[in-house]
Amino acid sequence: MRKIIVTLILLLCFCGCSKQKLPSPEVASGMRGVLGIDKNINEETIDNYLNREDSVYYDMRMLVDVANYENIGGDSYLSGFVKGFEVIPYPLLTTIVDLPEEVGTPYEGKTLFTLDEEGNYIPNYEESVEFLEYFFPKDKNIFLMCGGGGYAGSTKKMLVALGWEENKIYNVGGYWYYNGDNAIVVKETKDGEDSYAFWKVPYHDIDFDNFHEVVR
Amino acid sequence: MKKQGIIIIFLTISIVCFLLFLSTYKSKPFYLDDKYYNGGSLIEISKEELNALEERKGSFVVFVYNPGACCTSTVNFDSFLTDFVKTEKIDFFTISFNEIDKTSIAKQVKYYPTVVIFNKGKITAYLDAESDNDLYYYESIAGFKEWFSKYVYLK
Repeated sequence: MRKIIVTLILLLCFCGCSKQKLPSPEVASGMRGVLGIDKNINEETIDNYLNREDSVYYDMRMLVDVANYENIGGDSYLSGFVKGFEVIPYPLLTTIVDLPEEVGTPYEGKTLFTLDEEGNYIPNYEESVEFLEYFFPKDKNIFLMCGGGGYAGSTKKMLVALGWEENKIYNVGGYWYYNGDNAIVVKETKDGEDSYAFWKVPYHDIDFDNFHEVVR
Repeated sequence: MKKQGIIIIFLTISIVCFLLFLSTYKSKPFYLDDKYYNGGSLIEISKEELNALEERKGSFVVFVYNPGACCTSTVNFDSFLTDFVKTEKIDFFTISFNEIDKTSIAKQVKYYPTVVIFNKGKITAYLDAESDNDLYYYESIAGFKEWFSKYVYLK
């Protein structure tokens, strides 16, 4: 009898500790699919997949995007994120293309890679690939988010083009659609005035001055 | 017993006919309120203004935009819409999806951007960002016009 009880307890512990199995990445339908947002692991379900030791979590927005999204009714500020996600700004990783005229000029500063006209990602620094491999380990699942799913999709595209395994990368979608239990709110409004508590954001800036430019 | 059988058959046929009618029924296009024609603008409104328009049983169109700063596909759709309202000289309201909680739109629509058509204060149709069927309507002015014209007369 004691053996049975011990076995049952062990079984319960095992079930409680084991992580939910990840479905393979599968692109959603419609417009969301165009951005590459995942059908199964997305804003609605990400809470079930947080805090996994076999995974890393990144939000790809800038704290303040330099492109003028106010002109099209957008928001250039990172107003919140999902707990457990760290922020690495996609515009610092590579060239941004295809922004509409109304938005004006996007970030045009230094980037780790340059996206050429043939769609190749050319490293600008000797440390560019090492940086990606450090933050996006190839042996882990990679969960990506941003505001609406665009930068996350572009990041996945870049990583896959540079040799990462597509089946381990999930575009979880946009924080704007997130209604789960792990939101960290950054935007605060007091007396009609907006302010941003950026100190809450685990933000990874890229110090290009300490990198070594590739000589071409 | 025979009478009961006839009634059951009659009821079954009636239900099948009704279901067939529902599946093939397409609502007729309608006119928006007059004041929305001969314009050509996207007019920003608040949640309160949206609720007021519904209460007044208005027939109007609302573009719910995604305020995310990293959605280039969304941005292209914005451009199509701007061109569409100018070309067709029709006014659309616009509202950020951050604003639409506790509105009728939030109860029905899950993802954005979308265009929601109201007829006499009720939602008649909207574009579904998660539907493959609606993808074509998002991707060009011609596609959007095709969808829009199914529900609304253009003058």
